[in-house]
Amino acid sequence: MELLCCEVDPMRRALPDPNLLYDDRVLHNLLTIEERYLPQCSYFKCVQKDIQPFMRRMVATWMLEVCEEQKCEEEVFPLAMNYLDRFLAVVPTRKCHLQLLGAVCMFLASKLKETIPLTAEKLCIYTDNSIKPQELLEWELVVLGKLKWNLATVTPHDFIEHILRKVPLPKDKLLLIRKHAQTFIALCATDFNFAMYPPSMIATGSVGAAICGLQLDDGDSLTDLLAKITNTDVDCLKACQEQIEAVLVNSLQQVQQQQQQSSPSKTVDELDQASTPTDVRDINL
Amino acid sequence: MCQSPLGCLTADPAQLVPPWLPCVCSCHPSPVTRSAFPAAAAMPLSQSRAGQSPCSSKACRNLFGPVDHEQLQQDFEDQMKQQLEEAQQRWNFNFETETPLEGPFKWERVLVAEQAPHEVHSLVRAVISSDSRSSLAHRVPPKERVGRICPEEAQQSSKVCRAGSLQGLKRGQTTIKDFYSAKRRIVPARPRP
Repeated sequence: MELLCCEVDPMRRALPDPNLLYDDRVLHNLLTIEERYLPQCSYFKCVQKDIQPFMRRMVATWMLEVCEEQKCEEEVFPLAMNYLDRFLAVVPTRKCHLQLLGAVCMFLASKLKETIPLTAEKLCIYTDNSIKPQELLEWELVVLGKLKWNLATVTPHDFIEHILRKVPLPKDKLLLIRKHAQTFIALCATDFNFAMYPPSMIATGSVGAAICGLQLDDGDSLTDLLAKITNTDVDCLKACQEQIEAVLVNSLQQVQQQQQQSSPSKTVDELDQASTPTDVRDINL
Repeated sequence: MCQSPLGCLTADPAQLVPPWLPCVCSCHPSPVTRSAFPAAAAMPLSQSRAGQSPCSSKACRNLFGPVDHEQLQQDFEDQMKQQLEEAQQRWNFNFETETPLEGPFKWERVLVAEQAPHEVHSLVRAVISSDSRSSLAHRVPPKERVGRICPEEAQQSSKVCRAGSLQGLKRGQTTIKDFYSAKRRIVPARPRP
């Protein structure tokens, strides 16, 4: 009888499906439908009265922390932020209800993407019990209605594999590039400037920033190639990638400030859970 | 889009909203227990999720101060009422009283013989009039619908009742194709002379 090692990821995953990943029709369809799921307007100007951009950042940071702590799938956080932005683009919302909305969006995104979704109770505890599970479930219905039950949003993550397989990259670096690109995508989701960008552009910019950050690029040809893959305008892509790098620098500075303020023994732990995901630090800018 | 004014709430909230008890002290609601919330407690697999328990975590925090639970309930009721009104307009059907209204869809009562009387009234279908510009009108060409339903009505009359039962539906709907055939068998189940 063979011995079985049980110390593996308890989540059973399907293998990557070549029918989906190596077929350009899939990429083309994603590019065709992605804009349907963008928020309708820049809502701080035209819809919201009570909610300010810094509040979105606060709730986004909290959502990312919860998703990281609960080891959610990578897609859950950006997807939840997409729901949040789409809801806020149509419904004027009170400041004191914004965290509830964030929790509802995580609840929905987790149910859509995960084998074992986050529970309503757990999410309520994360709001320090400021909301009740019953309220979460009620508002789930409201959010679903406002999103017209269109939850299967195209996210930047959907493009990552399609992009990576078309860029010549050293195989041993692929895992790291993917991880960094995912981190950039999460970072973009915390920043409202990216909320109206097509997911393909964020994905392409994130892959570009990941490759450049690891100094694996060979000049302008990379940007041209990336732009071609997702039919993005080269200048837009360059601007997007620069913006992503700026957001990274900005958030690294924030982390440094936090480090200086808090005691050194705590910082590593905090950094793991804070708004900046850990591996960003490894990037050589 | 604007919220409906707070004063115009006339619908019976009990119909839309599950029973909910407003919290006495909105600042410090008591920790929720499993027994207080059966729906979440019944959720399968909830305990086996990986990840740490949130209680002691730094992420466990209230971001924007105390939540006004009464206001929240009020906003929820307004939103639900608005959604119900939108659905009513969209389908020209009053979902509260389950009665058809004037509009592009013609609603017909569909009776299934073996079903209990209280289930029968909910089985209605929309017949799209030819001048309708609704998106559904494109998806269901009337010609096809008529051609499919009528011939089977004669042959499958004995099957109809069984297909209408829940068990029959479950067995039939394993693939999309099966679903359509199951649906086809229900639709003609009208009272015959």
